[in-house]
Amino acid sequence: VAKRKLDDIISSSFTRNIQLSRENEVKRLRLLLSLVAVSVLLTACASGPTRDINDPTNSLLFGYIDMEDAPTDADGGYIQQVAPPSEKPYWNLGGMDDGLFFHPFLPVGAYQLSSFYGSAFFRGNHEYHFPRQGNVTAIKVGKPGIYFLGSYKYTKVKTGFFEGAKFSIEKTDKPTEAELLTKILEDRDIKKSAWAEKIQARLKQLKK
Amino acid sequence: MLTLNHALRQSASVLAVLAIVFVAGCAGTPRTPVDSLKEVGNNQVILVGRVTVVPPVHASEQSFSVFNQAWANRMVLLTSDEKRPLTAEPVLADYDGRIDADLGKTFFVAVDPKPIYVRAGVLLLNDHQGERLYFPAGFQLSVRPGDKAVYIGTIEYQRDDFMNIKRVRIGDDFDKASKEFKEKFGGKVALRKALVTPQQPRNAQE
Repeated sequence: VAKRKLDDIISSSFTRNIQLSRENEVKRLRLLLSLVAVSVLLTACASGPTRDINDPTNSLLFGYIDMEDAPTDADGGYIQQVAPPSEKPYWNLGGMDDGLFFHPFLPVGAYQLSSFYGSAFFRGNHEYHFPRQGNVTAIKVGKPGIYFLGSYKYTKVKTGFFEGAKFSIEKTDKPTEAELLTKILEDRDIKKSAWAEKIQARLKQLKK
Repeated sequence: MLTLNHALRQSASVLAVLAIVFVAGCAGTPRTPVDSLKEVGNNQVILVGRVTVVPPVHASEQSFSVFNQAWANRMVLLTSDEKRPLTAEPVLADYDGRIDADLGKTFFVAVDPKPIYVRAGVLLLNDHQGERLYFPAGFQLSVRPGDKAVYIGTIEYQRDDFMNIKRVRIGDDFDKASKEFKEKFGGKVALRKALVTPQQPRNAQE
């Protein structure tokens, strides 16, 4: 009932505002306005905070999510800065490659995964949201350095017919920190940045 | 194992509609906030208290449309007449008889003269996804027949950066609350101090 009312409000509002009588024109405008709204939203999210990749106060945060049992792969995502408070708390993880995610210029603070998103031809677009409270990916970045968030596996949770879909994530041993860092080193921007040397040094440490 | 929301496009729409329904006032009736004796019913008691979160929830943590701004910085205390811990995610009916407490401000609500059990605190983070934070409670509020007004104290939730509740402290700000009480209701009504008993930190949904 509530959804129907909402649709009614939207419809009447559109009709009133654009004052068009022909139904197809209204539909076309609605579609156009929806696309503009979505673009604005996506731009707002994607813009997020930015920093110089070679800023010495940067930290590299990385991890892995196995989405084999999920409806889609994870094409991208966001990490949330929970402290210190920020007007722009969502850091874009950029394009994800085969479950690997990383962010190379986070300032000192506290972070946790906020969401992943992905799409599949038959299954459409999906978003995977992590809770603000009780989030197992919570991590404190105390001083500039390399921080491994861990490797996780997506697991579907059974829910009732009328309940929204849910999932959990379980920590896994693979891929290891060293395997993921080796893969991050292949990234074009990382290769050219101050991170290349720091990652090499960390890999040496891990081999000991 | 931690369960996380997986918002499909459809379920996100459902959640959004539910959130709108919730904030539009369909989520049960709250206990009546009162500002003068005229608003207090016969035999009703004025319950006085305060809820704070330390460190406070930052404004950027909450996001509401212009119509739902009243939910910013407001904690909902879910209550019942009997000891009934919250064992699952609350449904709309659980919000009936709630206390809407603006964080950091003294609340004054009219209640019936019988004990009240606070099941949990809920803080809505936004109205597009209906994302919420939960705060442990399990408090018994000692409201007795014959009471005119009862002061329950300041429920202070101490949290970490990740919104995990580390400690619940009950503060005694009786003098300040009493002054505010007199300004609203005059000096003829006695405000009885009956602080709630703090509980050990635990997950509000356990």
